[in-house]
Amino acid sequence: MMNIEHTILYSYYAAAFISLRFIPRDKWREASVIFLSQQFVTWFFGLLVVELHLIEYPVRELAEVNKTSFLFEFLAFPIITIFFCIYFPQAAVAWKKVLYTSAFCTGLTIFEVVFVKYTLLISYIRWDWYVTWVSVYAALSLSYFFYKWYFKIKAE
Amino acid sequence: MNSDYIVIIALWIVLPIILFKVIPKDRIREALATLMFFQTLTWLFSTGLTYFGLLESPIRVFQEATRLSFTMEYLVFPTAAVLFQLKFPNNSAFVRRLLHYLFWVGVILSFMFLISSFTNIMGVTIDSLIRSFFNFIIELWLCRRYVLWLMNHPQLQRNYE
Repeated sequence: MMNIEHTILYSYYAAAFISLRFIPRDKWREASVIFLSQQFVTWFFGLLVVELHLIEYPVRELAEVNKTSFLFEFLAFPIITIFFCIYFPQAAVAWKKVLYTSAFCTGLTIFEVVFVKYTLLISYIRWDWYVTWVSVYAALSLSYFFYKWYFKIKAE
Repeated sequence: MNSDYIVIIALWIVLPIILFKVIPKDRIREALATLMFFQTLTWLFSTGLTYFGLLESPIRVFQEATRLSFTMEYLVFPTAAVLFQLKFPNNSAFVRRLLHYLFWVGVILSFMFLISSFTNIMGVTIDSLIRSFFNFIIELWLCRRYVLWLMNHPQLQRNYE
């Protein structure tokens, strides 16, 4: 019988590493700063939501050490943020930027809701899909502002 | 309230103030990169060490969510790394730079020893101090390599005029 949770986790680790190949060569320095700044946020908030019993990750790696999702907080979400920031439509009109950010939030939320419904990777205790959506929106925007400030990128 | 929590709260107040005071305005990006990269390293190292039962912290902030000492790994060690990086004698001879490494690793180990002697924030034994000695030398070196590489970016190079 297939162990669905561990197969998904493994695929995600693989996908995370493979995706690094698609970071443009001349953007590695930018990518590393984006990655680190998002970890700075997720390490803290990931622990907080578990400690306050808002979210639970029944099946996880390093289960004895953390009750959080190491994969999502250490690797997956910071890497997604890299792509979000590098391909951000900086010169576009405001509503396109909102749409771009919303697309990322919606994509992530859909994945999460599916995992909540059909797997033991994550379960909501006192949480809802829209809280995920809003917090992802906030985290992505925050990272992008930090990235712009860090590399002194001027608005066009 | 347990005195260990008072120490934890004190660390969370004092260390950010120290960071705020010592980081010069023109090196804030360098300092932040050091802080964040070192957090990533301590996150990985402490997770591994705790997993193999080589590190423990009985009293901690996120008592349930993790067995790592969030205060030490997220705040204390990265702060030490920032000080190490800011005070690094860039153009000095090898021996001087080596002494700089040994001095800051000494500071970190002494702090760990004190913390474990007077509080339950971290359990430290002689062998964990010896392991930490090598770990921190490696971590500080990696961190420095990363920051030097990052600072090669055209927007981040400092003016030395």
